[in-house]
Order: sequence, then structure tokens, then C-alpha cells
Amino acid sequence: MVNLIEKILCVEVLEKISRMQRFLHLELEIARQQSTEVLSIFTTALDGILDNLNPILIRLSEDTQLDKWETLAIVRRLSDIVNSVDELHLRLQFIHGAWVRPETYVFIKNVLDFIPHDRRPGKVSIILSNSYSFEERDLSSHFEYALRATNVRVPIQRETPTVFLPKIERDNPLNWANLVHECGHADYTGINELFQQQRIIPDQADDVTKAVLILWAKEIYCDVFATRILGPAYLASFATFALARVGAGGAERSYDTHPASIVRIAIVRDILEKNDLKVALNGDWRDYGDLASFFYNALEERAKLDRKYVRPVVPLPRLPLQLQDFVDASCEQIDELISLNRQLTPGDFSRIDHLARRLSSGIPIAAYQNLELIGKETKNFPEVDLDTQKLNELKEAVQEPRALLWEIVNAGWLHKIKSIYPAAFALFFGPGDTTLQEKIAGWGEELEAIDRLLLKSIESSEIQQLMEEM
Amino acid sequence: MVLSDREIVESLLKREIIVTPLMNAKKQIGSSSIDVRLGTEFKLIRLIKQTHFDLSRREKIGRQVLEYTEIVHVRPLEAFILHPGEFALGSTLEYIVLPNNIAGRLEGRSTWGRAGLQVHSTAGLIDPGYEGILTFELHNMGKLPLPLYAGVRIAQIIFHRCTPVTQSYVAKSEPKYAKSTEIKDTTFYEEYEYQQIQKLAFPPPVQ
Repeated sequence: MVNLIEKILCVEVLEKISRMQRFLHLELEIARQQSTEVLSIFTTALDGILDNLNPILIRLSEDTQLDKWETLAIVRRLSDIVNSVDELHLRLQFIHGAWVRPETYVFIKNVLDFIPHDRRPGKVSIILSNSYSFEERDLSSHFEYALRATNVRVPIQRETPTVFLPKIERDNPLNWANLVHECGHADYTGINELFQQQRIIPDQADDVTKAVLILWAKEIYCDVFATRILGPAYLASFATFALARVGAGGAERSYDTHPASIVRIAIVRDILEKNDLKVALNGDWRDYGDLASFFYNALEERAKLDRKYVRPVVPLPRLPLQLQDFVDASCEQIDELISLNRQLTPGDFSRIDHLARRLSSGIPIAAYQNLELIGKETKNFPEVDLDTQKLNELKEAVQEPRALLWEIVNAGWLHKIKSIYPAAFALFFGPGDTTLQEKIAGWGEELEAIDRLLLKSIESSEIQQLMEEM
Repeated sequence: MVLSDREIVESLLKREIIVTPLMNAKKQIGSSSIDVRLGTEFKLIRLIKQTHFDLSRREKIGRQVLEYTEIVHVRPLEAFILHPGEFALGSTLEYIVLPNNIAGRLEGRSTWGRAGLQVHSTAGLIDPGYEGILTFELHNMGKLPLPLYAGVRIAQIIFHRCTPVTQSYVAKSEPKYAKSTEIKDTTFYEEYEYQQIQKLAFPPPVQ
């Protein structure tokens, strides 16, 4: 497909804009028309951002291969536009704000269930944040620190892990995959044990470098945690987040708190490859291999441009961690943390395609059909006699086992590649005389429908688990 | 013709009927019905300032209907209390798909009927070809508040085979509640008759 990565980048940016429009609409409903003036300023600004995107959409509609300079110009411009959406997102602090969805708590509970009881935090709080970033904080320490600056000392209960979810991702379970990484931070015991066992920080490093490396190591530990729980869906979510920031050195740049995204994503991909955890792509997408490779290659392809043409603001520090040893030790630690019967194995991925097909038919995927048993019983369906025992066997065949959280999220990503991207390509880059505003409104409805399917699936799957435990 | 347990199982095997998630088929499939469970979302009627649905302004009535109800979302293991005399919309946990030659009828279960719970007041018919969750019109006719939990079997669907319909529910020009995964508000004001009444009784002012 011509200019595939640039088209995906555009669609991701358009999705952000659409999600902000939806959040503003929700605010309008909550406010019951009270603060329409404030909201209309946001809407006008979003329309302006869309206007900036229009020339890129027109160029990509031409369907001729971009040369390297055009590619560079387009990815840099898209990066600017992403920054403008992020800036606007920060201003969502000026309006009241909806609360976190109940399904988000179900999602987090499912993730924390992977941590043994004696190491699991009592509760993780979730906050919808104004800045577009996923992060975890011990909110008690944060408050204590903030209040200390006012010379007021307040005794605050320790260890209240809180994860932050950007407001426009409120309804989007596919990007909640990033929250799994943040839940990894709540495993204080695991991280501390790892530091005690492993001499990962070089002795010769100065104190400042040591402090940075410790933070980097924690990030990598949490990446391993998220990968072992969610599989390729974590990479997909992380890579699209990073992809939107290429063009300005975003994927290549490391920070005091985080190693470069491209390094982290390479580690995640390596773990997936070693454990053969793959969601295969098929049909028109077969040539792209599997879900993780697809997004990894897309990011690497664009990061190459950054590497070649974008001068970093500060020289990139080398990564003086004993990286491979550390990743291996993290994997071992997490394999001990997650009980054996809950660890992902290659065989587990056999149902993802079936679930993705159900999603594309508009059916929630809280459970899956036992196709093998159904096939066998359909073939042998008794012509005449059907006693109670046989009827019960047939009922067993039509009963639907629960789909697990990671299956739902991976199936969602597979559906995104196979159905949502092609639909968006046809809408935004295909022929048609509707305005961009009209197109994005229609597409927003489709995104909302798939969100609702996934949200219902996550919650119904949780209820099924409770029913099975009764 | 009402479908028996054998025919229901056969239709499920052939994937003509889909009821998902079908958590416990042995418990849920009865001799001529499938039990369905309560979902997590409810819509309560809210006390509002309006005296009536005002048909004189079309753009206003949609907003009025939206304000008339309030969404309540209960978490798993959290009770939704339906007080005596109270009316609320609820939904099935299950998503239902029917083929073009099977209609369904939503009925209460006697266990809950004896406690005074009505699951639908007037709209129990499910058209052939329907896809989506089903909406309950919950009404507590008893004298004690009823604690309702998501996942409990609260109603049942009885299936009727018919000759294939020419136009299935989802193929209609504007199916109002098709493929729904959430409770939808009433859209009575969008019905053809109401639109005509609006035009005739409340013509737009002459400029």
C-alpha cells in the first residue's frame, strides 16, 4: 500500500481529534448547555487544527509515492499537529471534567490480579489527566512534597498508587494497554528485589547518572511486566503513541525519566519474539507478518528518518545499563511474579482471530464460541433420539468460555488493523465530496461503536468470572 | 411455533441464533426458552422542571428526553436498588442475534415475578433479524426495594419460528435500536406520525 505509514499516522492524529470532540460533547451533556461558550472555543480551535491537516490529507489522497523529503515534511508537520492537540488537551483543565469510567476500574483490577496477594497494592486510584501522558505516581508522597513547599507539614498515608489516563483516552480500551505498564510500578517489592539482586548500575557512574539509570531500569521492568500480561497489544499501543511523535526526534530521544521509546519498544519486541507470542496478520495484511512486527517496523522506518535528519536537542546519552542482563533478570522476576498458569503461551493466540471476526460483525467479545466442539456436534447432530445426557453434551458445546482481558485487547488491535484502518483510509483518502468536518463526525460514531463493544466485553467478561467463581 | 430446547440448541449450534456471552448453557437453556441476565447499565427517570414533552420545538424535545433520564452504571457485585413503584430501563448482559425466520418474545421469570418485578411493560417482541442488547422496562410492583445485581438471570426469551421475513429488522430504513450495546432513550418524537403532527400543529413561523 502506498504511503501506508503516513496514512496510519494521519488516522491516529484524526482519532485524537475525534476523541477530543467526543469528550467535549460529553462535557456539553454534563454541563446541560450551561457552558457552551467555553466549549465552542475548544471546538473552534479543533476545527482550526483540522484545517492544518487538510493539505496533508489531500496530498496522500493522490496515492503516489512520497519522496524522502516529502515524507520528512509530512511526518514533521504531523508531529506539530500532535503537539497542538496535546496543548489543547492541557487546557481541558478549564472545564469541569467527566469522571473515570467504571470499566477502567475493572480493567485495572484484572491487571492487578496478576500480582500475588501479598505484593498487590490494596487499591490503585485512577485520575483523568489534563496532560496527554500516561504515568503513575504515589499521590500521597506527591501531596506531601507539594505541601512541604508551603511550610505546612501534613501527615499523609503512604503508598497510594495512582495512574493517570489522558482525558481523551477515557473511552478507549485499546490505549489502556499503556496503563498496564503503570500498574507495574505498583509492584514496589518486585522492583526493589531486582535492584538488590542485580548489579545493573555501573560502579563508576556518578550519583546523577545512577539516579537516572535507576529510573530507566524501573521503566524497563514495567515494560516487561506489561508485555508478559498483554502481549503484542502493549507494543501496538506504545508504538502508536511514539509514532505520533516521530518527525521531531520523539522516538529517538531519551529523557531523565525514560529511555528512548525506540529502545524500549525494541526490548518489548525482543521478548515477544523470544517467547513466540504473536498475533498473525492475514488476508490483505499477511505480508506485514504479525501485529507487533507491523507496528515495530512502522516505528523503526520513521525513526530512521529522525536518526538521519533530525538533530537532537541534546546529544543522546549512551545506555550504560547492562541492558540484556537486566532485561533477562526482569523477565525471570516477572515469570516468578505471574503464576505459571496465567502466563501467555504461543497456543493462547489461537482465538484472537475468531474474536476479531466477531468484533467486525459488531458482536461483543466477552466470550468466544468453542468452534471445534460446535463443528463436531453439528456434524453428529442426532436425527431422532436426543436423551438428557446428549442434550447436556450439546449444551456444553454451545456454552461460551470467557475471553480474557489480554485476548479482548489483542483482538481489538487486530480489528483496528484489519477493519478500522481500511475504513478510515477509504473515508479520508478516497473519493467523496463531504467536508473533513462531516467525515470526522461520521468516523467518530464508528469509533464510539467499537469502544462500546470493547467496554461491554471487558465488563461482561468480569461478570462471567464472578459467576463462574460462585 | 415455539422452539423446544432441542431446536434452540440446534439453532445455537448452527449459529442461527447468537446469545453471547452464554455463560452457563445448562442453567440458561430451559425446555422452551433461554434465560438472560441483567447488565450493568440503568436509566432512571429524573425529576425535571418541564411540565410535559414540548412538541412545539423539534430541537428542544431531543434535549428534553435526554434530560428526562439519568444513567446509572453499577459495577460488578454492586446492587442497583429498584424502589417500590419505581420505573427504570435496564438491559441484558447478553447481545442477541436472531435470523430472519425466528422472532423472540421477552418474558419475566416467575422467581422475580413473585417478588413483584416486571421486566417489560409493553415491548416484549423481538423482530426477526434483530441484533443488539435487549432493553428491560423494569418496574417494582412490590412493597419492598429490590436489590438487583448485574449477571443475575432476570428474564427469558421464547423463540418462535416463522417463514423468513422479507425485510429484517436491521435492514429497515431506519432501525432505531439495531446493533445497540447501550440503552437508548425513547425516540417517539421521530416517529412518522409525530413528525406530521409537529408540522401541522406547530408550523414554523412565517418570515
